[in-house]
Amino acid sequence: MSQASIESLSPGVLCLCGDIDFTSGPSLREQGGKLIAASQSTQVVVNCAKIERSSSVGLSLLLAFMRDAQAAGKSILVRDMPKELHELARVSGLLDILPIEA
Amino acid sequence: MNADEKYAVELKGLSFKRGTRDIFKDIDIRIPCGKVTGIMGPSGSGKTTLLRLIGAELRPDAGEVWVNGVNLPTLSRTELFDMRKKMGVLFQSGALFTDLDVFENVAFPLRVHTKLPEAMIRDIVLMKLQAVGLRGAVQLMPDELSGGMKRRVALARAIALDPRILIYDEPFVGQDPIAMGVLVRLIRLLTDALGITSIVVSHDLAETASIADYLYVVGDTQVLGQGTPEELMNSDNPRVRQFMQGTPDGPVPFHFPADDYRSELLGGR
Repeated sequence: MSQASIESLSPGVLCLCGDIDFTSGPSLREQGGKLIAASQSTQVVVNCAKIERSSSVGLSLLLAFMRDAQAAGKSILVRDMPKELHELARVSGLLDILPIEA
Repeated sequence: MNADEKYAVELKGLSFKRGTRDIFKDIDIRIPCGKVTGIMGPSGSGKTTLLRLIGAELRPDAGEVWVNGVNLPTLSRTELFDMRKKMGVLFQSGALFTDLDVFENVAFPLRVHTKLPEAMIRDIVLMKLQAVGLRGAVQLMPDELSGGMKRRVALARAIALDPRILIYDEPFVGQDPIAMGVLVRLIRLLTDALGITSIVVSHDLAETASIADYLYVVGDTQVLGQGTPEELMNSDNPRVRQFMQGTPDGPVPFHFPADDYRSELLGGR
């Protein structure tokens, strides 16, 4: 398992990586909020392809980023959500709420 | 580390006594990852004791208890505390905090075990309640809930920390048929969708057999039988057959071992 991180790879694209759990959640929340605030794009893409193992914290982070973006007049798009996280979103009733890229 | 990662829980050569009475003598049980495993047996056969051994609330007199690749009796208290975060338990009684509302009951493990900000705790509580169909009951107190709803709230609390293993202690006791059906569906859903390893301890034969991928029947200090529900239904072992067919007397006797009745009543005391 690699350490969790969130970083801006290119303008308007954030990459959520590693093992996202209850320990790494609070700092990812804070860093993600800052990156969204600093982004110049009107749409922020959160790329989830490099998430290794996720939990409900991952979904909560995406919701938090949606709220941040909404407050800043921006939108969020969730890209490459891993199957495991997608299943958790389904069980949690979030597939219609999270803006997952088709 | 345990070599075999196919199994979430392995009991190896486990023995446990209460006083001088053997509860388990040299038993082996293996619980596969990501499946529903039922542990069945008559009342008093030690099923709940087995759960307490898996949760390291009790220490075996002999043998090993491997959970998620770690032998529990060798862990320190701190390591055990961390290990228990990965295990959810749905207690027989539900065990909700009666002075906390539904939201706070589900939020409780998140507040104790994490440093998540309040907004994230709220997200996760609502997600878990949505999963069990009770998001609308978030502000209710436990005494405003039916028995079935209480158990579903307890389930939402048990999955709050995304456990890898979920233990259900007699989940069907006292439930009406609708509540029972809902629980059966939820156990299956959480196991299949989230890859949770579910251990259902129960003496409710029909429900447990309907949901379990694999069953163990325990009694008389031993594992009496194991296999798929179908295999156990057709077992040649008379003790397993007695349990599966619900016959009151047989190789597992109706009477708890006792001194001679006549002597006790008429003998020279």
